[in-house]
Amino acid sequence: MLGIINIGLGNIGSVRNACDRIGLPFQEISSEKELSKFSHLILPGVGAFSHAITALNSKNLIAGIKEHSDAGKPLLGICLGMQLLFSESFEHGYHEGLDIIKGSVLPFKNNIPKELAVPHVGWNTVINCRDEKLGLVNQTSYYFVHSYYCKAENNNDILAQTEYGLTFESAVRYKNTFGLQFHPEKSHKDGQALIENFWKI
Amino acid sequence: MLKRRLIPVLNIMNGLIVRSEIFKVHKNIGNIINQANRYNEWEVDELIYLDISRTHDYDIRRDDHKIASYNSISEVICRISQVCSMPLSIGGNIRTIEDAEIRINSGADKVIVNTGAFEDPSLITKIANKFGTQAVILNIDYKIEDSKPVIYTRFGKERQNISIIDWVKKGHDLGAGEIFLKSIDNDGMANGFDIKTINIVDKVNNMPVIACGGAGDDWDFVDVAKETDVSAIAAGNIFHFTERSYPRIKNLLKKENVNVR
Repeated sequence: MLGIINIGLGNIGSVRNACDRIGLPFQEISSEKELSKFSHLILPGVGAFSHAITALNSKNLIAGIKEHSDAGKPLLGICLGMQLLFSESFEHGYHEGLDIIKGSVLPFKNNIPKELAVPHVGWNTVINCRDEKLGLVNQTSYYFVHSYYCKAENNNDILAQTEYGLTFESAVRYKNTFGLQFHPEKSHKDGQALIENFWKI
Repeated sequence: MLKRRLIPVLNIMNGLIVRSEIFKVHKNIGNIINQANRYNEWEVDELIYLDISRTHDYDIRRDDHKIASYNSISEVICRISQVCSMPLSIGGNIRTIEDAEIRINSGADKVIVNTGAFEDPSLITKIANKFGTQAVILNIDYKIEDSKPVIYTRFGKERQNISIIDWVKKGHDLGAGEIFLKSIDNDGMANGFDIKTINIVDKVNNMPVIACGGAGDDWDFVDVAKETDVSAIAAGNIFHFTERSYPRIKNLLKKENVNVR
């Protein structure tokens, strides 16, 4: 059974709809007691890093998520969800993340040429793909929308990268914990295939 | 690198898709879910829905095609988001944070504000704080008067004095993520895009701009793609009325070396 973590920030409707379209059995989770009964977890996210970490803390979800990840059980972080997997974020101050993927979340602003729009919004391609489980293929386009980007400390954790004024991590992995900076649930068939493959792990 | 987006715009009025011409004439052109399915099959980059209902009630009507309309915008968005696997933006009649919340919770990824932002500029900030900057698109409708773009709200009826450049800057400072720029003069006239104004607005700051209004034939899209750097090109009628127009226009853009998906 797939558990979609709902921390009350932004709506998880798109992820739910995508799972419905594929036919995946899922439930929404908002309390830590339910975490262990799920074989797979998805951590979606839209909005601010600090709000998300605060919400995860107040719902006591952090320990359970880390346990699930350490045990090698499949976990997928999407967009802000991927960023939360990292060690730290510099969005509106300094905040610690789940520290599952060693690295940092940094702002595009002042780090890319001024002519480039922020947020990074639209379809962009993945490059330098090193993935066997999700099915990421070089030059495939996915839908991105974010103002902060991730840089991983260990190259082994990087599954794919994308270019937007600089090169950032668009997909990461540690054990069976995956992070996707783009929205697979908003990326038509190519995105849907990734979710299907995640479910098969 | 980031690709240019091609975005169909659909006008919904009281639960049905309609055609718009200089904001005044409306003709029913189809069932919302059928249209949504068609665009999803074409794997379009994004979809924009504009709710141009003047009244706030959604009548249940039976028209010649025996197409049911929907009781509320919330139901409309919910149904569309169930079938569409690309980003959805919804605008029209969004005046309060609650209006925005209903639409986002029903399945919209972004909300588009226009008149609401003039009545209460803090609306932009409230939505951005709750859902993120990327969830707020600032719609700017304009007419050319004395060779200069003038902003209009309330479906083209109320003239605003603030310059388009100042309003874009203000929108950015308040927390808007993108600009949806619509030419009232060109809307539905199929005479080509207003390249000059598009460039003026696109260069104000580094917010992504979605340009809309004037698409008449496929080459209009090539013109705007090559003569501006806009992040996205939007159009309404041309995608609804001509067979397979979306894939055809994408192919033409690719042939002309425009970076699209």
